[in-house]
Formats: sequence, C-alpha cells, structure tokens
Amino acid sequence: MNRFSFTLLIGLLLMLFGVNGVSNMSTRALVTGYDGSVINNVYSPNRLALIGVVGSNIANELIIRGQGTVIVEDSLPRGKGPQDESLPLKARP
Amino acid sequence: MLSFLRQQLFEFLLPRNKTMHKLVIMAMLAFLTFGITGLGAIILMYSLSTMRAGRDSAASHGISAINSSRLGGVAILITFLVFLSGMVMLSPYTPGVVRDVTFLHLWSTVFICVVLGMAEDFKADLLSPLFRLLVKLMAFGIFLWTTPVVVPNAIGVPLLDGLFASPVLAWGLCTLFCVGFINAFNMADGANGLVPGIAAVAFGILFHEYGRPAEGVLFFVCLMFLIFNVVSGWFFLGDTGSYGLGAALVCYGLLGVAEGDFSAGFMASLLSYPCVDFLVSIIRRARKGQSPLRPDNGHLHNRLHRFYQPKFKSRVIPNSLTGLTISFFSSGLCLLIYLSDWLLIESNAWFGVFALQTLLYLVVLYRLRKAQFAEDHTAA
Repeated sequence: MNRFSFTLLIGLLLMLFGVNGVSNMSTRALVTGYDGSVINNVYSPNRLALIGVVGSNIANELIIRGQGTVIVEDSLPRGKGPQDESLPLKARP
Repeated sequence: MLSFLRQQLFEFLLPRNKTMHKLVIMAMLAFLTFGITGLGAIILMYSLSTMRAGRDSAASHGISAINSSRLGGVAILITFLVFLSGMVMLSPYTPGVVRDVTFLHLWSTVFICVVLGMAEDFKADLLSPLFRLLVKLMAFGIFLWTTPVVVPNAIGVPLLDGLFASPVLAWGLCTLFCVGFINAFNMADGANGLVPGIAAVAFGILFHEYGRPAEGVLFFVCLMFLIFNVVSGWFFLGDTGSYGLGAALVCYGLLGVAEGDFSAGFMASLLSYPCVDFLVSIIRRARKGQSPLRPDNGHLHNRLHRFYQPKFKSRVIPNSLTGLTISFFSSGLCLLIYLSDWLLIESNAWFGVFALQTLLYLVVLYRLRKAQFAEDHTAA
C-alpha cells in the first residue's frame, strides 16, 4: 500500500469511528431520556477523545435544548426533558 | 506492514522537519476541538493535499508564497461526504434532501455550483466566465422560481421592501443577489483562513440556531479546513470550495430570512467582508476604467498582507494572519455579539453592526492604501 492510500485509509477509519461514537451517544441519549448520564458527561475523557471539546459542548447544548440528539432525527426522547415543569422537582432528571 | 506502521508512528511523534511540525500542530488542534473525528478529517485532508492534480505554483496566486493545491474545496467535499455517508450508514439519520423537497432543490443548486467550480479547479479556463455566469443564473433562477418559500417578501429596508412586495421583482433581485454573492465569496478567497473562517462561523451559528445535521457537518468540515489552511497553507479553497460554500450559505441565509428566523441585517453583518469587498472592488475598477471582474491586488486582504509581510520571516504566517484578522473583525465580531446576546437575531439593529463593519473596512483600506502609496513613492 502506498503512502497516499495508507493515510487516506487511516483518515477514513478514524472519521467513521468518530461518527459511529457520536451515533451511539445520541442513541443512548434517546434511550435514557434526560437522566444526566449523557448531559453531565461533557468533559469525560472518553467523550473528549471521541468528539473533542467543541463537539462535546455542541452535543450537550443540543440535547439540553431538546433537539433529542445530535444526528438522529425524527425520534423523540423517551424520557422527560430537564426543563419539564410538569414533573415534581425530585422526579426531574 | 508492522515496521511501516512503527516508522509512521515514530515520524509522527518525533517530527524532524517543518512538514511534520505542522502536521503535529494540526493534529493536536483537531483532536482538541473535535477529538478522533477531527483527527481523521485532518489526516484525510493531508492525504488529499499530497495529490499532484490541481497543484499551483506560488507565482500564480496573489499573496501565497508557497506551492499549494487548489483542491481545498474538493477536500472539503470529500470530508463532508464521508461524514454524511457515515451518518446515513451508522445511525438512523435520514438526510433532509430525502425528507423535504425544499432541501432537495436547495442542495441540487449547491451541487450545480460545486460541479462548475470543480471543472475549473481540475482544468483552469475549461469553462468560459460567461458560461459559468449563465449556468449560475439559470440554476438560482429555477431554484427560486420553483421554491418561492426561499424568497423573502421583505428584508427590513424600506426602499427595497417596496420592490420585494412584487413576487417577480423579489425573485429577480434574489437571483441576482445569489449569483453576485457567490462571485463575491470567490473573490474574497485570497488569504489562508479568510473564507473558511467566515464559513465556519456562519455554519456554526446556523447549526446552533436550527440544530440541523447538514449545517453541523459543514461547521465541522469548515473548522477542520480552517485549522489545516491556517497552519499549513497547503490548500487553496479553490472554485469548488468558494462556489459550494457560497451557494450553501446564501441558500440557507435566504431561507432563514424568508422564514423570519433572523433579519437580513444579521446575514449582512455575518457575511459583511465578501459583500463589501466585492462592491468596493467593482467601484475601484470602474473608476480606473477596468473590467469589474478583472483580478487585481487592491483588495483589503492584499494590502493587509503587505502590511504584515515584513514583520515575519515565515511565508505562511503573514498570509494566515491576514485571513484570521479579517474573518475575526467581520464574522467573528458578529459571532461575539450573537453569543453574548447583545442583539436579538431577528433585530434590524444588525444593519447598524453591518454599517460599522463597512466603516471599519473603508477606514483600514484607506489608511493602508495611503501608507503603501507613500512607501512606493519613496522607493521610486
């Protein structure tokens, strides 16, 4: 394999690995709702390694705003959002 | 294979030359901002920058002093498509073009502009400027005619709102504006990080506002290209990049203004540099009796680069500093006001910010021109 193909392959694999990680994170946010396991982990080492400081903050902002997820559309979170005033205080995620 | 991997890793961790130094800096910045995904994008762009196709000599460009590839736009396109394909294959994401006919028309228009730019990047002067202009007019004309939801019926300027009240006049004005804006974006692409910086800020704000994945991916790709372009200078954005990004920005901008999500003044302020520089350049050339589209070195980025150049030994730093300074004081200023919530995004007060940016442009251009004219006069 020549140098061009090798670097291209590495770049492609890393990008797809990152996209897969973001997808998994988004799906997890949908499944768990707003229990904090995704929202509160902005600076967790795994997440920083996967999508970096900017990516992690953007993902967090979108989840908090109720966009549901970063890249999964047309799916509503099963849990209630943190701003849901109808829930009693203790029950809020 | 193992020894090759070990050698690559060793070279990466212990850089011996300038190329490796730049690669390590880019990789660190990309990893910090977007983690492994960003690192992958930088490696992908690096491999594309080593291609022989589309390579330009330093002499063929205004302020660049190193031989670079003009396939930056192609690199952006490939990185964008890889990310998008990954999302489609690895997650339940369905692209907007499949779900919504407005986005299908929008992205078809962007695609036509990308193809036009790509033809020019792979073989210079393959298509005549008149042909490109006519195709762009046709593409935007058809897009805005078939998708009237993108055409605003008022933009908050009393004199122009009278014209926008007529749908046909509004369509004509918007078509001319879109084509003019793409040419302005292409004309402004003269320094490392200038247009990528403006595009990254614009897509970042659009993504923050709407949360739509397409703008998110464009923000990511533009930011990675900005890092690559500013640190190394190995890529020009090229016509593919300036036409494609310009078309995407103008379409999303018009859609946002037409739907009342933000004011026309906000978009004007966000994209102030290409618009003001385009108008000032046309006026300057017309006053000299030259063709309005003839390239020259009288742009603000050319003059600012000449101001920075004697202060640095490096050939890349003055170029990148020029691009970053201009993108910071145009779109960066808009981003600061937006993030600090000083003005509502729907407010027409953004026209005031645009007026301030225009004034700043004119004052800096006037002072640099005067100083450089005096320098030339003394040298002669």
